[in-house]
Amino acid sequence: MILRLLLVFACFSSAVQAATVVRFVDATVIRQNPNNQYFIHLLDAALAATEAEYGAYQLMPVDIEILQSRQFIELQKGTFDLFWTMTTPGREQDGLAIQQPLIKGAYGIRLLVAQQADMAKMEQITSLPELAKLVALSGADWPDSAILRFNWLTVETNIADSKLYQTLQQKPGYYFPRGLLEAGPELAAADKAQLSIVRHIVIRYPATMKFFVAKQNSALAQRLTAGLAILKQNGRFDDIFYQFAPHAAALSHLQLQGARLLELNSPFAVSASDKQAVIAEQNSLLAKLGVGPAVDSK
Amino acid sequence: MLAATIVSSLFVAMSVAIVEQILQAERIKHAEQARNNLNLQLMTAKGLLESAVVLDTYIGNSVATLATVAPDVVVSNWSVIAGQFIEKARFARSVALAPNDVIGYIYPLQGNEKALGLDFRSQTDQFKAVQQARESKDVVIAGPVLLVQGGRGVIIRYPVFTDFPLNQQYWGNISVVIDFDQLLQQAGLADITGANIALRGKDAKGRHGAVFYGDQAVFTQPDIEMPISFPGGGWLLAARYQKDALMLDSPRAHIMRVSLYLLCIFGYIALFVFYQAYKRSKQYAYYDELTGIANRRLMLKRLQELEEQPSDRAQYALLNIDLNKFKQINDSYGHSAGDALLRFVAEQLKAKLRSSDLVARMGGDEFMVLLYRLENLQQAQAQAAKLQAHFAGHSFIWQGSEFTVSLSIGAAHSNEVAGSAEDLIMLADKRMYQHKTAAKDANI
Repeated sequence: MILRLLLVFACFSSAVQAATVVRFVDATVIRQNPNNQYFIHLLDAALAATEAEYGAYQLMPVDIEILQSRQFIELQKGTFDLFWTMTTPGREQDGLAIQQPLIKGAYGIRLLVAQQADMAKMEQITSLPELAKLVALSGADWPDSAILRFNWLTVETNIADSKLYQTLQQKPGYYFPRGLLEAGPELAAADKAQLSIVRHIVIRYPATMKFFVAKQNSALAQRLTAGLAILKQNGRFDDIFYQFAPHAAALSHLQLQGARLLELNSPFAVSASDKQAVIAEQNSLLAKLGVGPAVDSK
Repeated sequence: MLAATIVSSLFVAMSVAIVEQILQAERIKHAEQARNNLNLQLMTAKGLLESAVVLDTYIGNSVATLATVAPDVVVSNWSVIAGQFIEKARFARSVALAPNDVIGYIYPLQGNEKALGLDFRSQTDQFKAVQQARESKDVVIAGPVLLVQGGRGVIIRYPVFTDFPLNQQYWGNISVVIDFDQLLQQAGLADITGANIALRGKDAKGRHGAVFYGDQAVFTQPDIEMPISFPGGGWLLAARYQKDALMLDSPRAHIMRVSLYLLCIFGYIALFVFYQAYKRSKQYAYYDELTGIANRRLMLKRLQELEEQPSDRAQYALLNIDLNKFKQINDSYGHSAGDALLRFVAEQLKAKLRSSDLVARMGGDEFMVLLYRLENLQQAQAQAAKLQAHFAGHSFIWQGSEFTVSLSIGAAHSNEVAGSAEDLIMLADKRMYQHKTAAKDANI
């Protein structure tokens, strides 16, 4: 512990000469989720934007798989300097969050993936109570499961994560809510032929991805806050977001014009300002896709 | 001597028996008191636990009722409603509202952030209680459980239905966390000394529930069992006395024993002193205070003894001696002269007679001599004459003046009377008076 503090101190005191090393968890290869690269691009850009004021930096990916439950513990211990995840009030107690939504709340915009056979039925749905009559598939420990249930939707969580698509394909009556940027790419992969995205309904809840650093690492937090603010201001943020290949591909293939937006609440969205910020970003994203206006959940 | 030894031994034996008996009784009494005291403390604890749980349950019920009637109102005004509840409740430390069993609102937020978004379905233990509340349509009191926030809590779960009184439309639940550690502290269970205490009945299952406080060994042979009842079930409080704690503590017992034995010793000494005094007073009962010789009582006693002797009776004689002119000397020279004269006479009589003979002062100026083992009256009369002669030759000297002691002596022998000693005394007496009258007549 003392050693780490000394190291950090050494880093600070010689910030001008030595580069700030930012170690982050990159399980891209292991998890086979290319979407993760987006965050790395964003991180890089934010650090680059502040190089003049804060000095050189060096990104160092730490290629290990860490359980979500251990992320914050390892962060505090100093195993790595930064990671990104969906924020909750509890998590904001455990680490220092940089208060800029990273991905325009895209993870909170859910498209409904379902069997072709159920498509007709699904396209008829116009409200949440109607949607509640069908069963959503979701992972047992995903925060999304709690959010869906919080909004009175029926959720099945007893199926293993890896078997979810399989179940969807084999059994009728289910739907699988997937993130705006994930749904298309996932379906494009092989053996998901009978599945497609429901075109007339989009559900949305305030969910914000944030960068987290150790509670005492105010220096890095400040730098990233400043960096992201610069990116937002000069338009680089949107560029990175829309130009990221997987994002561009996903968005370009979506056919959601005129879809009905069903509004969900989140038990995790406590801060009104946070909520407002992410909803605003989601709205601008949705507007680009021709979705909206928002329909009240009731 | 033997009698003294026996009495002493008896006294010692009795003392030991009584002292030990007292100590035993004291021990029992002390244990009884300790037990009663413990009982009282346990009952107080029971009362506190019950009332605390029941009170907070009752207060929380108002929030549950409001949620039943207007859940939207509760959601919109959550911090006010929840805040009021927490303020009124005694041991409740947080309250959570869970629509569709997902916690969406919690008060106070600070410190409880991690509970937000908790889907009860993902927590098997907690979900059991939630489901039980839903199925029974009644409040369920679960725990105590370890809280994420630290410490232990008892959790009151209220099911909320929107279609009262049918209660078919389940809306969600309200959970109130009661600070169990604080509750225990208020109940004062930890302060109770002298007994091992345990609580069982996790999840309000009473006797059938798990032990959650204290050693479960207490339940195998409890001295006291007390049910703690609240809505939906209860707990069971058990206590087992620590035997040593009930006993009169050793130092006290020793002090008591020592003091009691000291008391016995004093008692013995007192008894001894009393006995000595008794003997002495008895002594004094038989001796004349002024002259130191035997008194009337002793003389009569000795005569009584002689009377009770077997048929070949003892041969003895009585001399009844009277001082002539005693009254004149007393009047002329005062009581001190009279007293001195009496003492003089007594001394001389004793000196002149055998030590086995009894010289007694019968009262006033009358003396009596009991001559043992005399064969006949003549021998007695001879003795009388001897005495007369002696006093004739020995005068009484008082403050320089010399006085001749003049005696009237009447003798009588035991073989002269067939009857009792009384008759013999009367005879001697009569003869004395004869002598006295004769002497008066002769003006001696």
